[in-house]
Amino acid sequence: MATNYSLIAKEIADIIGADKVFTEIHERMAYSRDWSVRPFNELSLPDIVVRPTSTEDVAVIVRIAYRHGVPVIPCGGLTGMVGGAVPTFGGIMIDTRGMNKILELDTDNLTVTVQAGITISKLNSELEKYGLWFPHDPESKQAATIGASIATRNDSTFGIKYGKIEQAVIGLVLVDGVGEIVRLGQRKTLISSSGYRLHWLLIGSEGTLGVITEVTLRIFPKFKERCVDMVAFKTFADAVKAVNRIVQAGLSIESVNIMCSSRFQYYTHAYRVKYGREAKIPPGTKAILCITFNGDDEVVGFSRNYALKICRELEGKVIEEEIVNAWWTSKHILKFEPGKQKWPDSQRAERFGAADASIPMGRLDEAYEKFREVALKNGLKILGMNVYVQAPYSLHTSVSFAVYVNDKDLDNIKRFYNYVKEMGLYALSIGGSSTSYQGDGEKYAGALCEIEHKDSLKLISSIKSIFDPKHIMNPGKKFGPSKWIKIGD
Amino acid sequence: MKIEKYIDNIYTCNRTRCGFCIDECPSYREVGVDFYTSRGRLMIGRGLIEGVIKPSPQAAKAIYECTLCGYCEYKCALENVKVLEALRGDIKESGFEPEQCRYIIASLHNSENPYMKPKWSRGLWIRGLNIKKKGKTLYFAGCTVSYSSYLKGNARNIVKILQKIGLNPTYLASNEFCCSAFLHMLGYEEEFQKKVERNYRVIRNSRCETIVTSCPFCYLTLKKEYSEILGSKYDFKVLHITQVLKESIEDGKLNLTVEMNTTVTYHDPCHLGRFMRVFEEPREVIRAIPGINLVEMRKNRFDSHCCGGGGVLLAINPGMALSINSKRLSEAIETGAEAIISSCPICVETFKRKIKYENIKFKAYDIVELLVKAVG
Ligand SMILES: Cc1cc2nc3c(=O)[nH]c(=O)nc-3n(C[C@H](O)[C@H](O)[C@H](O)COP(=O)(O)OP(=O)(O)OC[C@H]3O[C@@H](n4cnc5c(N)ncnc54)[C@H](O)[C@@H]3O)c2cc1C
Ligand code: SF4
Ligand code: SF4
Repeated sequence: MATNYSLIAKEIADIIGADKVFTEIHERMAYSRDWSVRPFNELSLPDIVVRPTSTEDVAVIVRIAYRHGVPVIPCGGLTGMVGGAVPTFGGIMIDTRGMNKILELDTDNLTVTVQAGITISKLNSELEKYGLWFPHDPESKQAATIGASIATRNDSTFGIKYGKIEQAVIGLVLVDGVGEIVRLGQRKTLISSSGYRLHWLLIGSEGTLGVITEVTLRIFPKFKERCVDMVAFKTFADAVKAVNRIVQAGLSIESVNIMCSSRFQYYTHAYRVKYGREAKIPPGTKAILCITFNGDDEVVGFSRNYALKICRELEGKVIEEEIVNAWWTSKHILKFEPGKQKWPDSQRAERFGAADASIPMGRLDEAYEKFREVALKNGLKILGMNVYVQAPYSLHTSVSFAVYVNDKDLDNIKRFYNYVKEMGLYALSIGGSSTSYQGDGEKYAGALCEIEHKDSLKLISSIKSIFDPKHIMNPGKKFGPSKWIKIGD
Repeated sequence: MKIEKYIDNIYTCNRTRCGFCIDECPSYREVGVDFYTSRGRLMIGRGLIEGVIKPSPQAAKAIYECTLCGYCEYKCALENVKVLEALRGDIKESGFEPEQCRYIIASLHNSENPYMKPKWSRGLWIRGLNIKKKGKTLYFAGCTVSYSSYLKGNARNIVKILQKIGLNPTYLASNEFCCSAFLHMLGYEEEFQKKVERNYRVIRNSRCETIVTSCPFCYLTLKKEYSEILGSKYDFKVLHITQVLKESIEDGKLNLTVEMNTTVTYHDPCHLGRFMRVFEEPREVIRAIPGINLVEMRKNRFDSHCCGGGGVLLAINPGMALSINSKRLSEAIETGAEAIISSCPICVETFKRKIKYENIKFKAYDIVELLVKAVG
C-alpha cells in the first residue's frame, strides 16, 4: 500500500505545529540535493520537510515515522559531499537548523551546550563575545552544523592541534530510530572510563543511528595571535619530514596542510582576483606545506622562526606573503572580494569532485602518483591533492584527491565514481581508509565499508539494528548497494 | 521565462551548494527554511525551468518575502539579485504576484509614486523656498522623501543645505517622476526600460549636469540602472547627498558648529552600502559633527543587516519586515548608542515606525536631520 504522506504530515503538524511542516513542491525542492556529484538535473525529493525546534519535536517526528515505517533523513546545511542528506527513498527530511540555540555556556569549565543545528560560524560568533573559541574549522563552517560535523566526522583546518570533532564532544542527546531520547557521554568532562563511549559511535554515523539534537563541546579561550606560512618542498616526504621535526622539536603547531602545485593554484583564487595573475612557486615544487601557529605574540614569533629554520634545513623555500594571505583567505577567513567568492566562481562550467582517503604518512608521494594515474585512466582532469592532518600532534592524514567533473555528462559522472572507487580500494590496499572526511553516504553506501570492516561487519549491523530496529534512519547510506559504485565491476 | 536568461547562475549554485549566503540572509533569519534563502530561491528557479514547480501563490510568497538586500550576492559570485527579480517577473507573468504589488504598479502608472499619493502633492514641501527653475544641479527628492510623514522637512533641509554650500539646486516639482526602481524590483523589466527612456528626457530638459539625491534606491537606479540601459548618452553625474556633504565639509563650505554630545551608530542602507559601496562618506559626515561619538554595530558596511524595508517587503509582509527591523534595532541598541542614523529614507522610516509602534526608548534620524542640528 502506498504511503500516505499527507496523513503523516498532518499527524506531525497536529502535535508540533503546522508552521514546522512543509509539503509543497517548491518547499521540498530546496532539500533535494547536497554537494555530492550527481547529474545537474537529478531530483531526490523528500515527501515532507519538517523543521523541529526541540529534541521533543524530533522525538515526535521519529515516533510517527517509526509507526509508519518511513525514512527519516536528518540534514544540516546540505553541503555534504556524498549525498548523506539526500532523501534517496523519499521520506521525512528533518531540517535540524531550527534547533540553533546555545543552551548553556559554562565559562568556568570551558564547555558549551548547543542545539545540534547551529552552524559552526554562528557558534563562534557567539563565543567571540566572551573571548572564547571552538576550534573545529571546515571550510564549510558558515553552513555546516555541529550535528553534521559529528555525523560526517568532517575535517578541520586545525586538526593537528585540536583533532577531529570527537576530541571536542563531551556528550550529546540523540533521538534514536524508535523516537527515544537518549543522553550519551558526559556533561562536563571529556574523560571517563565508565561504561562504553557510546557518543563516539555517533562520530561519522551519518544520520543512520538517529538524530543528534544537543551537543556539549569543549571550548578554549581565544588565542591572541596567529601566524601563517607556506613553504615549498620538492616532495611530500620532505614536507612530512618537516612536520615531524616541528612536532619533535616541541612546537605547538596549530595547522598543517600539504598541497600539490595544482591544488595550490585552486586555493590562490583570491590572489588571482586581487592581482590578476597566477601565484608563482619555485620551480620543481611538488608539495606546498602550509602551517600556522597560534598563541601569545612572543611564543608565536619564536615558533614560527624555529619552524621555518627546520623547513629551510630541509631545503624548503618560504613563499611570499601575498600568496600566503590569499591562501589563508580561501582556507579559513573566507572573506573574498565582494561578489567574487571562490566556490561558485570556480564551479561555473565544471564542478569540484573529490575522492577522500586516509593515506599512511610515509606513502604520500606514491599516493600522488597513483592519483594522477587513476584520474588519467578515467579520463578526468586533475584539480589537485590536499593533505589535511587530523590527529593531535601526529601526522595522520585525511587526503582530498580532487578532479573536475562535468555534471551534465552522465558518462563523466560514472567515470568519476569509478575513479573514487579505485582510489578508495587503493587506500585500503596500503592500510589506509576509503573515506576520511566525507563519509560513506549514498556514494559508497555499504560497498567499501563491507571491505574495510569485513571482520566486524556483523557487529556494525547489530549496532545499527539496536539504534534503529526498523532501519528507517537515513536508508541508502552506509549500508546496502551503492547506486554508483559496484565492487567487482 | 525571464529566469532562463540566468540558467547558468541557477545551475552553478545547484552544483555549488556552498551556503555562504544563508546564515545572515534576513528572510532566512525570520523563517529558517532553505527555500527562504538565495540558494533555495534559485532552486525554485530550477524547478520552474524544469517544469517540476508550477507557479502558485505559495511559491510566490517564498519568492517575494525577500528584501532584495543583496547580502547573498555579496557572499556569492552570481547575479543573485537579478535572478531574484527575474523570478518575480515570472511569477507576475503567471498571475500570482501578491496583490499589494499590483496596487504599487497601478499607483506608479497613475500617479508616479508607489504610495498611492496624488501626483500634484509631490512637490508641496517646496512652498516658500526659493528654487531655481533651471540649473546645473538637480535635486531629485524621490517618492519616499516627497511623501513620507516620517520624513517631514527632510527635503526642505536638503535644499537649504545645498543652497548654503552654493549648489543652488533646481527641482522638477510636479514633473519629478518615480525613478521606477520598484518596477524592476517587482520584475517589470520592460515597463522599467520604457520609463527610463521617458525619465531621461525629463532630466535632459532640466539642463542639469549633476543629480543629487538622498534616496539610495534613486541613487542606484539613476546612476547604475539608467546608464546600463541608456549607454553613453546618459552622461549625468549622479551623487548621493552624503557624498556632497562630505566634500563640502572637507572644503570648508559647510561648517558644523553646534556640539552634539551624544553617541550614535550608523546603519548602512543596502542600496547605498553593499550595492553602491558608499560606506565611508556618511561616517565621515557624522564624525565631523562636534562632540559626536560614532560607534559601530557588529555587522557593518558590507556585512550590515537589512532594515527590513527593502524589496517592497513592507507592503507585502509588514510583520516580517518589522521583525527584521527589530533585529537590526537591537543590534543598534546593543552598541550603547542613543540613536541610529541612516542615509536612506526607507530605512529611516522603517526604524522610526518600529520605534513609534513599540514605544522604544531609542531614536532614529536621517543623516540630514542630524546635520541641520549641527549646522545650527
Ligand atoms: C564549499 C564547501 C566546502 C567544504 N569544506 C569542507 C572541509 O573543509 N572539510 C570537510 O570535511 N568537509 C567540507 N565540506 C563538506 C561538508 O561541508 C561537510 O561534510 C559538512 O560536515 C556537512 O555539513 P552540513 O551541515 O552541510 O551537513 P549535511 O550535508 O546536511 O548532512 C551531512 C550528513 O550529516 C547527517 N546529519 C546532519 N545533521 C545531523 C544530525 N543532527 N543528526 C544526525 N545526522 C545528521 C546527514 O544525514 C548527512 O548524512 C565542504 C562542502 C562545501 C560545499
Ligand atoms: S553563496 Fe551563491 S553559490 Fe553558494 S549557495 Fe548561496 S547562492 Fe548558491
Ligand atoms: S536578497 Fe537578501 S533577503 Fe533576499 S535572498 Fe538575498 S540575502 Fe536573502
